[in-house]
Amino acid sequence: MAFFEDRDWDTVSEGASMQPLEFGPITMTTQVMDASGTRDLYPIHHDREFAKANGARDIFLNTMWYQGLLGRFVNEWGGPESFIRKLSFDMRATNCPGDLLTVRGTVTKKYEQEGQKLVDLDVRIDNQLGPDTVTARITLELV
Amino acid sequence: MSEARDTSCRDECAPHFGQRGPFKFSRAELNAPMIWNFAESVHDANPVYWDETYAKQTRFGRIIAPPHSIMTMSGGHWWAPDYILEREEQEIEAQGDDPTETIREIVAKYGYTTATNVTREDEFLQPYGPGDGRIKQTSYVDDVSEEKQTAVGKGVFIITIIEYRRELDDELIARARNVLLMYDSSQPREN
Repeated sequence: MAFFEDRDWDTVSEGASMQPLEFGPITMTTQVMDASGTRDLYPIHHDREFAKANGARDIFLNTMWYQGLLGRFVNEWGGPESFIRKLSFDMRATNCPGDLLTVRGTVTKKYEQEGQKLVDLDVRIDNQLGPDTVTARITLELV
Repeated sequence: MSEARDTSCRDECAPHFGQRGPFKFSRAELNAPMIWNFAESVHDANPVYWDETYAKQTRFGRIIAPPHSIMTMSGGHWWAPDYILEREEQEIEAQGDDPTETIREIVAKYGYTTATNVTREDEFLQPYGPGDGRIKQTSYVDDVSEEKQTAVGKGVFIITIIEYRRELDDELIARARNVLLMYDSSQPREN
């Protein structure tokens, strides 16, 4: 999808799959950009010894970074004027340096509410170790 | 544990439900570099974050922040001089008691002192971006569950609503519903 093209709500159908997005492999630089971009200095995201001492397999991407990636994924599908109305997600497994992420999504519902043209999306982030490291429910407003 | 005690923890908290605590402001006024730092970290090319000419002719009419960046945009200092931190603390204290803290203290009396976040749902009501000033955040406890046995121990779920407003016009831009489990980690469930 071109960055400058908005998706017409009328053409969307329930059950449709969204174009998957690959991100990675995650590197230490990704982690640095995560910490600075989302302003999160909790050591579990940048200090390997701290992360491992706390039972993690390595430092890992944080909550706000997932908010960013999920937002990018649905806005690239919906177009620049699409606007997230609701967002919630579960983090079920970590994503660490070396991991390759794949974001995929499905349209679960299409409806109008208070003048807004909405779609509910089921979005998941997999990595090479397994599916559903993150599972998200997103309501996106289209134009 | 008796039903009577189950009722009393929640009952003790109930007078504080819906009472907004002090507001606090984000570290800085919203600006484009903060938005770009966030977008950079996930390689987000959306022109409404980057391209002022393009953004102006969209329905937003200007560069906006990703709505879902609200936690990042409303964040505080990494470091600041003590005189700044003390001043900010005084501004918050001057607004009176924080009912959320009061509820945490009540819940702690029952032994529920270990915290783990369960879920958070965000709702985005209005776009926001450079020119809106800082982000003003306040919260209130909407409800506290009765005492429940969970996998990690006995505890209560505290449901908090967090509200975010634009400094410029005090418009509500986002609202989050957070469920926090406060539990007693000294007594895991007996199987």
